[in-house]
Amino acid sequence: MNKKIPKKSVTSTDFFLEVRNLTKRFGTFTALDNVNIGVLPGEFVSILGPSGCGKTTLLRVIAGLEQQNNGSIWIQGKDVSCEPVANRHLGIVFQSYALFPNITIINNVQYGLRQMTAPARRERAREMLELVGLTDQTDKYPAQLSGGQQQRVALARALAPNPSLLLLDEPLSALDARVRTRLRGEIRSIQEKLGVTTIMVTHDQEEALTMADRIVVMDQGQLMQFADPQQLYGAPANTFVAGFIGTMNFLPDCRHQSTTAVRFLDYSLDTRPPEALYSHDKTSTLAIRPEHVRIADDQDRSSNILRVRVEQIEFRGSVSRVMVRVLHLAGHPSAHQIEIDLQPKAVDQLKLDAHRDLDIYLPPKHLLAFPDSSAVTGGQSHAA
Amino acid sequence: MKPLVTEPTPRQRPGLQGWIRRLLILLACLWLAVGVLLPLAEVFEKATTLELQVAIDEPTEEQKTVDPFRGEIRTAGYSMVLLEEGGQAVLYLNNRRTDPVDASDEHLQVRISDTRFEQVVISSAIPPGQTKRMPIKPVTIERHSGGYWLIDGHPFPLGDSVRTVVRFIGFTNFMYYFGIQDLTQKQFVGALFLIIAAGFLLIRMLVDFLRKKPATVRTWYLPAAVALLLGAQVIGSGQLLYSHSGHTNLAQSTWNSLLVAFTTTLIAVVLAFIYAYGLTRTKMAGKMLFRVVAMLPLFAPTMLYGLSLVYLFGNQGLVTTGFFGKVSWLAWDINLYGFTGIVLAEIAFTFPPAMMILSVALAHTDARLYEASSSLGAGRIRTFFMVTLPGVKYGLLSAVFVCFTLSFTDFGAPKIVGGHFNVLAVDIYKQVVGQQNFGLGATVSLILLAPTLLAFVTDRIVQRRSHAALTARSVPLTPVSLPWRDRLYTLLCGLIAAAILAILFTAGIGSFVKIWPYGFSHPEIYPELWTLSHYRFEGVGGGGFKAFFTSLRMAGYTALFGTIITFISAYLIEKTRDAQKLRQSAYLLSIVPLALPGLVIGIAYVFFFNKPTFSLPFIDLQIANPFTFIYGTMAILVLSNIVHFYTVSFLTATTALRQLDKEFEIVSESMGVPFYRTFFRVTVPVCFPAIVEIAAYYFVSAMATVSAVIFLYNSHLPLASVAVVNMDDAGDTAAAAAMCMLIVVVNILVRLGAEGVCWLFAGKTRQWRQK
Repeated sequence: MNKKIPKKSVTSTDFFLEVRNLTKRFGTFTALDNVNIGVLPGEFVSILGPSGCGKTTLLRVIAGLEQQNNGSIWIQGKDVSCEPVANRHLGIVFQSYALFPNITIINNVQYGLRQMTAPARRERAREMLELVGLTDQTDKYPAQLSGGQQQRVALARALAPNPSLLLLDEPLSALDARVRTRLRGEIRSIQEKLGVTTIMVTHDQEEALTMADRIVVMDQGQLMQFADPQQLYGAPANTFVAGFIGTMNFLPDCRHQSTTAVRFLDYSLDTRPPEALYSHDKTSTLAIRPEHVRIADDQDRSSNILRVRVEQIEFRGSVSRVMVRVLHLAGHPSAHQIEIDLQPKAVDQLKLDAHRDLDIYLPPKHLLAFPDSSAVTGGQSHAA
Repeated sequence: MKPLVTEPTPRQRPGLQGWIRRLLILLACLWLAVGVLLPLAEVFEKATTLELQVAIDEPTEEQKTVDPFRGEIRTAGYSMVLLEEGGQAVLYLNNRRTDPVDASDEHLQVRISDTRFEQVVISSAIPPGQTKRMPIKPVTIERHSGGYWLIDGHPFPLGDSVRTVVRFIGFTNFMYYFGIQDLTQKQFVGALFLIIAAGFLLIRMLVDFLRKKPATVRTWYLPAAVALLLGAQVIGSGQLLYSHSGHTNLAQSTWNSLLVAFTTTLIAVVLAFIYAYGLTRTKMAGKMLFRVVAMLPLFAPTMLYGLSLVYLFGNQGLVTTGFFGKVSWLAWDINLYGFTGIVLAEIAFTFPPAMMILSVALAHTDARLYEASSSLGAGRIRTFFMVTLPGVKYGLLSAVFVCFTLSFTDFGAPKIVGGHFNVLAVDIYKQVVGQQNFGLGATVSLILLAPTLLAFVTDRIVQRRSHAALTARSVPLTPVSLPWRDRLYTLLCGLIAAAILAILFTAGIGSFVKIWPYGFSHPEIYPELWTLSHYRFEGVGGGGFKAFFTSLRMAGYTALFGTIITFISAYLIEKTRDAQKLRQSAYLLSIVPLALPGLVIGIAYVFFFNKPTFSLPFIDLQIANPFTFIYGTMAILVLSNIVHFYTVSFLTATTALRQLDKEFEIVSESMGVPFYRTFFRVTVPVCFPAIVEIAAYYFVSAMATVSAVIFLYNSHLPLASVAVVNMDDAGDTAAAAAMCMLIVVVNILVRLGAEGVCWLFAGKTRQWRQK
């Protein structure tokens, strides 16, 4: 039955790196559960997720450091699933830098350039150090450099042999906050300059959002969503992504009333639940970002108005976050809280303080709906 | 969504590099198998089998015409001579004229026809050194029509005069050892098994009870009943064995050894604890000096402690004679030879390792615990029992096991000061070297191995648990000044250090004295007191300077090859990503040598590397032993030393390698750099201090050891440490002491050299080590 399909015909795609049906188990623990990813040439993809979600395992399987139980890895249309690390032409940068402590910077960078002649090696290493802006440190030893400089050397070393794919495993996690922000931009611009396809594992969503073209969000070994940052933020595929990326208010247990309205507590809310999911006996969870919630003014007195009580106000510089508790129509507090981002000026103008009751408006176009019962479907989306 | 074909993924190919690594790990496993497991198996075989020599002699046709001699068969304590007297065959069984029909009984059957032996079947034998005949699987010696003999069906050409036949005799040797009579082997083994199994279960129950682990059965009477039954089982079986055992001199040495080990352990651990406590938890003066002094005994062969004790407390000792009669009221005879002497020497021997383990354990403590304890109002004594002791319990246990094992198995000191107090280690030597009784020698060495192995396994189980008890972010404890306590510890440690120095260097002084003790007591007769003549080793046995230089060579080779093998093995096991099963077995094999006393290694090597052929199990096939060629060469000495000191070195290397970033290998692999390049370029230079440490350890240990090599040296390869034993045996105490001093001086020089190399290295590499 299952005749082997000729391998060329399967990869009629433009993907530079393709991960197909990847499953990895450690004993009874499933670290990767049928993951599919397609990465375009020159793309910067970030793998993001909470700790233990399988993101590092995914990177290690791509690198060939772990053997998958099922599925395959394709690089440039070739199945490399059985190839050892050395044959995959990768550059790897680790959180620990892994610079050889007894070798000078320049020699660290040219460590992998064995096929070239000595002068050519040195030339290439210099070039790489210039790229990361460390030409004046060539003859020092790693321990004499700062953490950020060491990580740049590690990057230069990984890039020197001209790898087809660059893998970054939490490259900035060991650095302090200021260096981290600066290095983010540098890594990104170097990557763009060289056009090398890059995969970066991180647990820091800000890092992923600012650096990556597209982001793989993972949880418990499953792919949650694979999309660009705007999409992830604006149109999360499920409640996990919605809650993981940025701050999100959830209104759970909303019963469907019609195709355009749901009931939350005693309130009726206009929304656009996905049609396929509309059903009377099912419930949904509505979600809305803090910055999309408005204080209701007189024009809004039609629908999507919730009565709330202010509980706490946090000043956060450019915005103030107001924590409110949703009240039942009868006036007693419910179990649900909502966070609202307001301009500090607006807070002053409205003279908001704790224990004040007010009305808030949830714009229908920003109200996202997620069906409750259906299990989160692993993202099968190859779509770019 | 889309039903994709899920075919099982083919396994990743390891690639050439991967295969080389696997091959090397396999090699590491193999050499350990040849160096450890196979020889050990040989000891088991020797202890449970009986070797019968079968000798057959027949006259030629010419001889028959002039001589009445018609044939002789000697085996299993029988001598059968056939003579022809007046055309009749006459059999002499054990030199007594016997009728061939009468000669046959349950033990022996002889068939004679035509004045020739036709068939002899022997069904019992006397194991060497024993007196009782015991049944064995019959040995058949018969004439074949083709003009040759068949022994158990194997042809035995006439020219061949002696053939060894091996018979399994099970635990007979052990039963003989403990003087157990009138019990069948099944009863013996059954009783032994019941004692061990029931004892183990009882201990488990007790441990669980003490740790308040919830019992699976929540009634009190069921566990109690089980405990009662198990206890009764232990007592019953023990009584059975005891009632059938008689007192033997051999079994006495087991108790002697245990007594020595327990006493030594108790005293040495207490002393080491005081010393380590002083070094780590007080602000006493001269810590650096104390540390150095405590390490000094590591450089000496254990015979040195014995010799020093002889000079101090022996019949003509400094203390025994009250400083040669000068201060006679101080004269004190401690009855050195025997238990006292052995224990004193073993304390000196086991003190340094116990001290090291305890000072590490005491140094790795969490100051916050002490702050909490004092903030809760606990006093000193309470804090000591509630915080200090529990904190070092694993170290304490380790120290106890190390002391026990070392003192239980040591050979050198009891050989010198043991007198008539027999211990197991010396017994093995006597059985093998003195009486050539290999079977009993093997049996005794297994008895020596048993408690050692038990201590080893227990320690490993306990230490595995200790990893979980470590906390990551503890605050180091810095001792505070406390004048009375600091002075007390300075005094205590000073006394211990003085004792160590005395036990180390009295023999040294003695080696320069022309005639001890008369040079001191009768200067009018012996005017020349000091001399270097003992260092010329003239007129004494043992090999003198040749032995010393052979030892140097052996230690050098051991350090060179041992370090290379150890470090590469540790690297491969620690830094290979895949081949997990292979790595685990290699690791396990690397740990085993720690449990083996040197004497057992030595005797195992004698058996294994002497054996001309192996018989493969289940099929009747003999293959030649390919390793016999190293017997009697420098190689076997070096191999035995490497194995003897392998585990400690291996663990040192592993610890050093674990401090290296584990991603070095991945990074170079991803860049296509072969692993051996990174190994030489990065791993070796970064681990250089550890490598020097390992080499120095190998050298120093090989110089000082006597236990393994005493079975393996020969007159072409005399060794310094063996020469010490032989010179002392011959009464040349001063020369023996002189040789010990040479060993100590070389070892201290090597150690200083190693320190120097590391210091130079640190200077050269300051740039890449700075943080």
